[in-house]
Amino acid sequence: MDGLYIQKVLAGDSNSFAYLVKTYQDMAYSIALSLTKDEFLAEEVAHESFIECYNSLHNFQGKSKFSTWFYRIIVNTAYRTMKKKSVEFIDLDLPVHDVQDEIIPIDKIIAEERKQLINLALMEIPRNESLALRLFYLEELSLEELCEITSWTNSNAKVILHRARKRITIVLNKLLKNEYDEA
Amino acid sequence: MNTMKHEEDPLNELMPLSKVKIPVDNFEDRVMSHIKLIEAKKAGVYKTKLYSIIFFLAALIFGFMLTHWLTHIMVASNISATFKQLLQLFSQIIYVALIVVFSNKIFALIKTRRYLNERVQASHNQEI
Repeated sequence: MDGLYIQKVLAGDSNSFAYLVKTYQDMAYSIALSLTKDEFLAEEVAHESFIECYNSLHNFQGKSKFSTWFYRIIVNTAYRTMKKKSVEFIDLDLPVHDVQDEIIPIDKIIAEERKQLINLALMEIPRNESLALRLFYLEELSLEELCEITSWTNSNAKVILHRARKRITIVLNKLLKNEYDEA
Repeated sequence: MNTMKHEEDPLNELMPLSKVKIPVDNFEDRVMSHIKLIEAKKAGVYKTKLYSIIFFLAALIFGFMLTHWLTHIMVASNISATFKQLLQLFSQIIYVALIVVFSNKIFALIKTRRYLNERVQASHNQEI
């Protein structure tokens, strides 16, 4: 379906781009939020990414999926915007190995709380790990596609993903514990 | 790290919840109005591009006529033959050099689409 609208845009029908915006706006925002950790900046990055996408759509050769190509634009735009706005890259130093992995009591949490919790946890983990998780699980991308979007090497992506899984479990447990302690 | 597959992973259940809805209702409209603005400016830039080509061709013809006319004047004048040749050569070199320089710019303008996009983007950023 994307291909059809891309062809229309390339043929001069700029209104067809609205379909792509509608389809990918939430994912664009989610990816941007993973990297910027700031709602306003993420919105700006999403906006800029769509404009960048529109301007360079003629360069899309269809070798990879449109989504993969577009997510790469978002990642690059996010890094560029953060550099421009001098956003500091601080990696959180959570004691990964100090906390035992526990089974998350998923059943005990109602849907909305789970959503808030997972997003809160994603805000607390480092940018690259948050990005890796969102791309890998949300879009069910393969490792190769993940590497294509982020320019990481295969082994690097594996390590980041592994750390991300571990860290998010720890953060989720921590958040749940706090929640229950407060309750 | 033993498996990188999507199956058999507890995060499979949780992570789909991490898709965040964009908090702005009119995001799509904003992007589309920005694109409309880009298209409108592009049309303006294309017009400028067309004028550039027309003026380049006009200057090419005018330059040729001017060189031809100057040569005629020099032939009819009483100055020495060596000086005449020198002047002729000098005016022709200038003419050719100008053609080379400007045709290079014109070809770049015709070919490069990115140039137009960048100009449109730059002017939009300036406005913001």
